[in-house]
Amino acid sequence: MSSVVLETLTLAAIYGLLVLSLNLQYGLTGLLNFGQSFFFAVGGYTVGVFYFHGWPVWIGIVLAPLMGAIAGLVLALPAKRLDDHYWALMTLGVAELFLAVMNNERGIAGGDLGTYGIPRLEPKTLLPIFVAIIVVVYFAFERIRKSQFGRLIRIAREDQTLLAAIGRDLFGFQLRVLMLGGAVGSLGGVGIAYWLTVVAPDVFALDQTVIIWAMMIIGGRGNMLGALFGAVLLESIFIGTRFMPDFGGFLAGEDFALLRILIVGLLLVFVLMFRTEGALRERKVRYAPLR
Amino acid sequence: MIPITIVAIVFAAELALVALSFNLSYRVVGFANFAHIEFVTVGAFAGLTFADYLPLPAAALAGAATAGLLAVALNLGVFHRLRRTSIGTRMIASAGLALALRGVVQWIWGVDSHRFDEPTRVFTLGSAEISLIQALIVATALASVVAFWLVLKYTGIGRNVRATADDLTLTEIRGVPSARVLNQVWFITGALAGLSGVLIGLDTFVRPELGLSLLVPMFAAAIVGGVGSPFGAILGALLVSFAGTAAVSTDFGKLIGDSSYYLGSQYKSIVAFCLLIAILVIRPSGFFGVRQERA
Repeated sequence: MSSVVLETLTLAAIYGLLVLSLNLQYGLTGLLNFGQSFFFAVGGYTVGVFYFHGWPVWIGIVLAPLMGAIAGLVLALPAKRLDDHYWALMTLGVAELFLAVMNNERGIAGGDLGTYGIPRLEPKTLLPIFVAIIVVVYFAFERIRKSQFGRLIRIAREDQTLLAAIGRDLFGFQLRVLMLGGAVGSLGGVGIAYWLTVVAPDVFALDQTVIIWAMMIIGGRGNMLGALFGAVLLESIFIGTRFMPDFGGFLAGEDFALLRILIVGLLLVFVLMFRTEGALRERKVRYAPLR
Repeated sequence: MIPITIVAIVFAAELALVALSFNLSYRVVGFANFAHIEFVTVGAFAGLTFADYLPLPAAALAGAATAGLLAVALNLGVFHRLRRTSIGTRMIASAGLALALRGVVQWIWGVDSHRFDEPTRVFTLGSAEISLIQALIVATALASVVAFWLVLKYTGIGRNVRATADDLTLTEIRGVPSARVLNQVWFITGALAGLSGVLIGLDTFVRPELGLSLLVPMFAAAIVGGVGSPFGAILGALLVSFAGTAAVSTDFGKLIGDSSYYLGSQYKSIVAFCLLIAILVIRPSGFFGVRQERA
C-alpha cells in the first residue's frame, strides 16, 4: 500500500474509535455529548503525562481506557440533575475546562507547549494495532446493539417516559454508556499521541468534537459500519485536499486548513438537511420479548 | 481593586449583549445556537471594514446589520428547513455552521488580529482610568438592553415574539405571521451579537477566534441568568465577569504557602464555567429562568 493510503487508514482507524464511541452515546442512546474531544484529550494526556514525567509509558497506555471511563463518569454525574440540553452545553464546558488546565499548568504535561518526542510508531505498526482494536470494538458494540441492553438504550433515546414506565432507571444506562464510550474514545487519544508524537492542547481543540460529530452524522447515526465509513470518508477528503491544485497561487498553504473546516461544516449541514439518516441507515433489530 | 472593577464592568457589558441575544434566540427559536458566537466575529470584522469608509457609529451599526442579515440568511437557508427536526439535530447543524463560518471569516479577512484605528481619550476616576471607548461600550450596552426590553414589552413586534416563544401553534392560530416574527428575532439577535463584536473589537482586538473565545462565558452567563430572561442575562454577565476577574486577580499565595500565586488569565472563563455547573446543579432553571417542561 502506498504511504498516503496507509496514512489515511491509520487516521481513520484512530478517529473511527472516537466515532464509534459517539455513535454508542448519541446514535443509540441519544446523548448529546459535545465534549467528545474530552475523551480524546484524556486518552492523549494519559500517555503524555507518563511520557512527560519519564514514567514507563506502557502503564499510561494501559491506564488510558480506565481514565476515559472515569472521564465518562465525570460527564455522567450531572446528567441526573440537568435538562438534556443544558447537559449538552455542560459537556462542551468540561472539555474546555480540561484543556485550559492542561494549557496553564506546565507541571502536568508541558502546559501550552505540550509534550514532544513521544517515540513515533510507523503506520505499518500502528495501523494493524488499531484495526485490531476497531474490530473488537465494532463487534462488541454490535453485540450491545442487538442485546436487551441495546434495546433499552434505544428506548431511552426515543422516549424517556416510556423507559421510566417500564421501570428502568435512565441514569443507570447513561452512566454505563458514557463510561464505555469514554474508555473507547480515550483509545483514539492514545493513537493520536503516537501518530503525531505530540500531546498538546491544540491537538484536542473544540473543532475535533465537530469533526467527530460530522463523521458520525455523515456515515449514519445508529449504524456502526456507517460510523467507520464516515471516518474513512472525511479522512480521505482531508488528505485529498493536499493534492488539490492551488489554481495558480489562488489558494495559499493556510487556505487548505480553512477549506477542510469549511468542507466538514457544510457537508454536515447538507447531510442533516437532505439525508438526515446519513449514508448508511440505522438497521432494525428483532428483539426477544422483553422480560 | 478599582481599575480591575472597571475592566470587569466593561467585559460584563460586552458579554451581556452576547448573552442577552443568545438567550432570546434560545427561547424563541428553541435550541442553543452554536453559530451565535460567529455573528459576534462577523459583526466585528464587518464593522472594521465599514470603518474605512464611514464614521465609527455608522460603521458599528453597519457591522451589526451585516451580522443580523447573516443570521436571517442562515435561518432561511438552513434552520427554517430543519424546524421539524429534533433540538439535537439543530444544535449539531449549528455547530457545523459555526465551524464553516469561522473558515469563511478567515478566508475573507485573514487570520491576523486587527485594531480599530480610533484615537481615544482617557479619563481618570480616582485611582482608575477609563477610556472614552470603554465608557461608550458600557453606555451602548446599557442603552441596547433597555431598548431591547422596551421593544419586547411594549411593541406589537415584542408581543408577537413573546407569543411565538410561548406557543408557536397557538400563535399561528391567532393569525400572527410566525415565519416573519422568527426572521425578526434572527435579525435582532444576530445584530445585537454583531454590535457586541464591534464593541469588543474597539476595546481589544478583532480576530477570527473572537467569537469562539466567548462561547463558554456566553453559555455560562445565559444559563446562570436563566434562559428566556433579559435581566437574568445581564445579571449572569455581571456574575461571570466579576467572578472571573476576581479569581485571576486574587493572590492565592497564602493559601498554598507560597509568597505569591496567581491563576493564569485563561482561568477567567473557567471560573465562570464552574459557577455555571454549581448553579445548574443547585437550581437547574437558573436564577430568573422560565421553567422548561422536561420531555
